[in-house]
Amino acid sequence: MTAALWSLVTPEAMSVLNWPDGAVLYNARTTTTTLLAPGAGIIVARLKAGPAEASVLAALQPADDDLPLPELLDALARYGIVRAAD
Amino acid sequence: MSQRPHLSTLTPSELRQRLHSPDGLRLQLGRFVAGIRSNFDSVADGLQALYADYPVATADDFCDYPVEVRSSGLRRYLRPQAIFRFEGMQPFKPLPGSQAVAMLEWGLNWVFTNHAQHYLIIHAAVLERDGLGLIMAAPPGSGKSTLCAALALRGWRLLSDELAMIGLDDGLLMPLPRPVSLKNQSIDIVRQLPGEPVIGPIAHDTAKGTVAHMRAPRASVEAALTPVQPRWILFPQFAAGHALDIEANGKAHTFMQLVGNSFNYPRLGVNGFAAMGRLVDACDGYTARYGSLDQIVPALETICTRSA
Repeated sequence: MTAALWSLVTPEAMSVLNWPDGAVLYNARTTTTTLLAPGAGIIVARLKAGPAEASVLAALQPADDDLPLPELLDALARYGIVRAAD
Repeated sequence: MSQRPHLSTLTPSELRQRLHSPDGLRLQLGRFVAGIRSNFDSVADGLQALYADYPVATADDFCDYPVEVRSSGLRRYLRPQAIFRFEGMQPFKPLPGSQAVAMLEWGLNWVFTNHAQHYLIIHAAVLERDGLGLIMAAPPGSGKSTLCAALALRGWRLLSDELAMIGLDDGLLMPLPRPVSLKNQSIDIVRQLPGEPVIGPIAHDTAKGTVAHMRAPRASVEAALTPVQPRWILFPQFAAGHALDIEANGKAHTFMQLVGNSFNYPRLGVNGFAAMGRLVDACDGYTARYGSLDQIVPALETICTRSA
């Protein structure tokens, strides 16, 4: 697993609400609302507080999450939600 | 609601005079005052049938929404057309004059959804039972209005047949009780329900088929200034012959379904997101598929008692 630091792309513009069946993410910059899987919502909520290493995020991920963390982070990165710091 | 006279106290002649006057008929609709102008006798008759219990505001009251349904020129005499205007705008194409009452209702819906931007507005019927609000959100054709009429006739307080208006500051449901819009077979279904429904004029061959409106119960009109705490969100789906099937919805999915039924969520930005989140947090969500009112009404009366 990479030791890169992960962060939200636009943390100041993003708001997230988490519930057991999933999370909703609002991006004020794009004015889009996105439905996220529960595990993704937890990751985004953590990154809203500040950048974190993958190992920190891995500890937060529910055991029954469908995607391994690297794949989840890649998916969130493809949607422009998170990015790995250089 | 207030000491203002009700529309029913106006004589037909007085009502027509007000509809023809520059200020129009100032009618209190919930917290709003609409100034209605019209030269259609059918609009006067429709208002008398459907809005008899509504307070009439005075010319000194601020008019929130001046609206007009009228015909003009020679077309007034030859195959008249109804034209809806609001503050100089004409948002709809003219309709046959026989649809003037329906056009007024649709026009008022358009005005509220596009201009009452201090509320999160969802396309939904809203009723109250024992002080708590039920929001029934659904696209047209899902049986929402028929179910709404049935519940209102059983004593539930009608807040709206079309618009759930959620205060951005307090999260409460703002009542806007107006006539319940009925289409096609639902007109006869509702006409036969107990509770003495009053059905207004019928418009045939509209874009929605045959359309009529059921008068809002007087008690709902009289309580129109009392907001309600939302408690339940239902996505009703009527299908003839379907067995009753009710399932609980998760909150994230309820949120997204409500976004799809909202008129102004995108315009409200992060305030709309926060208001929607607070609404979903406050409510239990359900999807109900049903084949008859006899199935769904008792089920709702159980749900909306049990979990209060």
